[in-house]
Amino acid sequence: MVNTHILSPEFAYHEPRSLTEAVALLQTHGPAARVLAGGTDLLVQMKLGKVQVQHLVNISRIPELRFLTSDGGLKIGPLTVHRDLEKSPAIREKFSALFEAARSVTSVQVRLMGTLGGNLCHASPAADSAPALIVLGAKIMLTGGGGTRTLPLEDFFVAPGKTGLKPGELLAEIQVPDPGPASGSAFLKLGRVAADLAKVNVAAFIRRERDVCRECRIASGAVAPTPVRLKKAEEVLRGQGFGGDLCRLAGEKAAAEIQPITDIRSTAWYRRETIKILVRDALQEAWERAGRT
Amino acid sequence: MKKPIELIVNGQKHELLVAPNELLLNVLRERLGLTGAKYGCGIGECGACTVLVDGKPLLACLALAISMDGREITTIEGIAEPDGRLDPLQEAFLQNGAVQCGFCTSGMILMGRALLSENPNPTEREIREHLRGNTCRCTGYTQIVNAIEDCKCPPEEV
Repeated sequence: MVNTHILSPEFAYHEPRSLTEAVALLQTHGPAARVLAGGTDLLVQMKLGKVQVQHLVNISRIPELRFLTSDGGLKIGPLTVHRDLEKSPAIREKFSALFEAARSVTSVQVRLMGTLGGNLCHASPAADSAPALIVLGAKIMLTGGGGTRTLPLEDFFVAPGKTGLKPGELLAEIQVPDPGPASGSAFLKLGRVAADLAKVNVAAFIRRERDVCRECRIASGAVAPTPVRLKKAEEVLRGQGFGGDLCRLAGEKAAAEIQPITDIRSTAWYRRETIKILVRDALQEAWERAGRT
Repeated sequence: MKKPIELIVNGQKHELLVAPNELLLNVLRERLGLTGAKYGCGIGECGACTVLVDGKPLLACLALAISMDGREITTIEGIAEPDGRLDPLQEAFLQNGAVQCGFCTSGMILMGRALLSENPNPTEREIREHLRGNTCRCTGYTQIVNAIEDCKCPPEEV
């Protein structure tokens, strides 16, 4: 029987103070090791007996992984908590989708504990930060024994709970490019209650040139095995004069493009119905914001 | 393997030997006898275990004690005056009848304190938003929100 009042499994605990030390630990212990940051996801899974951990590598005291700088674009350390994203004036002003995604995460306490790196590396299909960062064109930098590599965030997710991280690799930095002029983004989420994971979430990014939609990116979570880019829906708007009918049509395309399942939070049918509305509304919001920059 | 840590709890220093799988909440409740923080869901959904760590509200049921070395922790036991006078927010909870079974109260009061220290004049919406991770199953939310509103500090008094 599961008793969430204790953490029953025993494990070895490591608290590396540098990135090099952390990578060395991960390489030594291989699949027996798990990385702990905020604990809001991993410790829950450990309590519920869903993951077995022999070596817990707590990276939260590595100063090199805790930063948030804004110089046009953003460079975000993986230990940055959701609350810091939400409180950053630069993110609030220029990266609306990321601001709204961070703010939508369950509770103040979880936003103060849960890190952006953890949200991405746990690869929940419902991770709120993922669609927002995908539409903003984010890249991630991974560090391991063999050096560092950078890849687009949208190529990082492989399956529920599974990313492209190789054994011994650690997420070292999240990079978000300057969204540039005449652009806007938005994130919308539908949950059962405010403090919940998404039934469906949607992020949109638009760059406009007067009344024409020059660039358009749409991504969604909790509607497929991983957070997904909705390219067919994007094509509806790209290069077109913007209008409400096109947003509605993009919503219909999105509904056809996703592969939702029925689970404890919602049904596949409901997810297909509601994504139409979320896509339409997110596009309209992003378009209006693009007009104000 | 157990490791020595130092916790400053309600201003008092404690040196403890903890195992890696000991949770902060268990250490507070079972080893320090501070039972104000409650064990509710155990998975970060109800907020009953909320304590302030370096002034910020965190969930003690999802924090490893071993990772808390050197941190300052405030529990509900630590917010009244040393002479026993209640904190104004505790007083407001009593005045508003914001306590029924009491299980969520410690978390609610600490969340209220954290909110008022960062935003002395929150709107009702901001209060509700701030409390959204704290569940009250007696559903006394209106009284809880009213109690926090009573402790607001309108701009002219800041």
